[in-house]
Amino acid sequence: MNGNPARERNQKKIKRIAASFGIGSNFIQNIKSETLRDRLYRFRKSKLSIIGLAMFLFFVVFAILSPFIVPYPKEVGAYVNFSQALRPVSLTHLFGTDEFGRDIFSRAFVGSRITIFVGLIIPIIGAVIGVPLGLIAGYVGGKVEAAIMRVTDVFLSIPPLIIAILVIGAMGHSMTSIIFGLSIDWWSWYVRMVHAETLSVKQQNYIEASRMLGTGRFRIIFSHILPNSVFPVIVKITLDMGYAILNVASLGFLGLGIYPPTPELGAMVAEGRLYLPAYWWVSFFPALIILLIILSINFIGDGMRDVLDVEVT
Amino acid sequence: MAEILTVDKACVYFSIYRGFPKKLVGQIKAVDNINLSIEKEETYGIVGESGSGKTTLAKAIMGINPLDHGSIYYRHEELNELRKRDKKFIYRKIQYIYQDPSSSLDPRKSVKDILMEPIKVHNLYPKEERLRVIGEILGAVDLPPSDFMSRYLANLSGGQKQRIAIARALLLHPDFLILDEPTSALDVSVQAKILELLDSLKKRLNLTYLVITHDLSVISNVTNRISIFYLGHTMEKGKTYDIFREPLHPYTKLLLSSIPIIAESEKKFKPSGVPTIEGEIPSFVNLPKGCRFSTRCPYVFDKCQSLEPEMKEVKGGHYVACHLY
Repeated sequence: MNGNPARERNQKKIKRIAASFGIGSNFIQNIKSETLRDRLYRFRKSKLSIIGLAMFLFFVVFAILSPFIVPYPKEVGAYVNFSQALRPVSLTHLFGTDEFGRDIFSRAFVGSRITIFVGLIIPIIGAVIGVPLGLIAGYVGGKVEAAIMRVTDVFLSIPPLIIAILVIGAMGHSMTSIIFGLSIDWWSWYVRMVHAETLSVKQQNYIEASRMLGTGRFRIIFSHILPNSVFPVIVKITLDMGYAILNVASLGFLGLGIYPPTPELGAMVAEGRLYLPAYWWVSFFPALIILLIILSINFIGDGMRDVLDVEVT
Repeated sequence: MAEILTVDKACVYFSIYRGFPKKLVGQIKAVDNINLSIEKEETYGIVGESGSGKTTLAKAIMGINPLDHGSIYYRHEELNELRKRDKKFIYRKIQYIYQDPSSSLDPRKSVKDILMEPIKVHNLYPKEERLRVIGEILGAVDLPPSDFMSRYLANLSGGQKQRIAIARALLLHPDFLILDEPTSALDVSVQAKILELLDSLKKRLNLTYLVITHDLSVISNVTNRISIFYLGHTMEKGKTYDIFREPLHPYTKLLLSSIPIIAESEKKFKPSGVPTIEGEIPSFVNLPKGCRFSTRCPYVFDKCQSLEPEMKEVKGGHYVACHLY
């Protein structure tokens, strides 16, 4: 790995010189195609993405183990102890206590489990629905493409939060309806992106070469086009996780999220706002955790974007 | 000798549409009334400048570009009339090698996966034998299987990639290979080795080649017969030796006189007293009236600008489309 920085600099230089002389794409392509090791190296070089990854892993591990390691696991759900209500930050209650006397530290970390889970699952559902649609629209073309893309445009024009509010209104408050409500609109961005990506990959010679070998549509789409257009999807999934968490927290804040007393970060912020500014810690710490999770995910996403060398709008 | 591939009055047109609703505003006649017949186990060359319709014709043979008129026969099967199932089967016998191997192989796949694709698509060997077959084919193109099986394209040189592309084509046991500028994307030192490999494979497997190139030294070294293309039309065709020794069409003369001479032996091919070629190939959309070459021809006269010359046989098997003969 030691030779790597020099090699990178060299490659950039060669690329620049080659481009200025208009040397064939073959040459430049050779330089462009890096090994996984080069990519990982670039990820490691970027301090922010390593910090992001470390923070995110910390939150995930902590969230998973939280019922066993938080100081007051009993106080997480339905629990009332008014003698301890609204205690400020102290050594016994690191983040203070809320209006029912529950330990906010314990609630926040147990509550982050739902937030992180939903944040992960929504972009993944979106990609699972959107990516095949985009591939099919892009590769098959014609009327199929027109049909898929126009429906996608309709969904693109509606903000996910609005649809989620409608769905939760109709289906009631539950984790399922939150996930369903957000992902029913989320896939449309993936269709758009994969469709555009497919259109460009489709023009490549190796696709035509596969057609000449007699390879069928299905295999071309999933064995050649998908692997060659998947990088932007990975980056978008990473960046979307933060956005999905924000949406879940927003629903919680609007009172449309998970019902109390089940802890959820957005809902905790909302409950605490009644006690601002005197009892600031009630909303502040859940909000801080939301902020840190989203920040760490965005750092990872930025790192991934550098590593995979794609542009996401 | 028996013919393996016949191209009969083939035309490939591309339509240009403008505006909304779409209106046909012009047609590019990329391949216009081409006749070819390629005999078994020969190497046939198509020569021409960029944009003369060489690759378009080759892709029409492969079924990628549909024909607008005419027909192409492979062993008396009309290719553009095939049903889907027969098509998949017949096209195993006709394979295509691209000019640039780094663009014709999927960059996300290992050598093993690239070579596995045709086997899987056509369900060729029993599962446990497939790896052994891939190893053998890699050996046949002079790449040690143990080294190359699990490599990715990023770690291969241009020549090695072209060998992989050849191996992939050979897996389907073709007897007709279209080589679209097989060496022009490679280093000069590698070009000779690839040509050598192709030659030895041809002898071993009784292959027939259709070589498309603008590299005249490749043509003179490997082909038996050639067609000279200009703007989608054949200008001259015949035995390579005849054409190089005594080019008839002014375009051929100009083309041959543009070869830089390095060795003394090449000198005899250079026609004397010919002005060098001038100007660019005209646009396909406004083709010149009469002979297509009339705008650049040093011997142009009245008839050339009004009447398109027919193909005439001048000597045994040597055809030319020019009013001078």
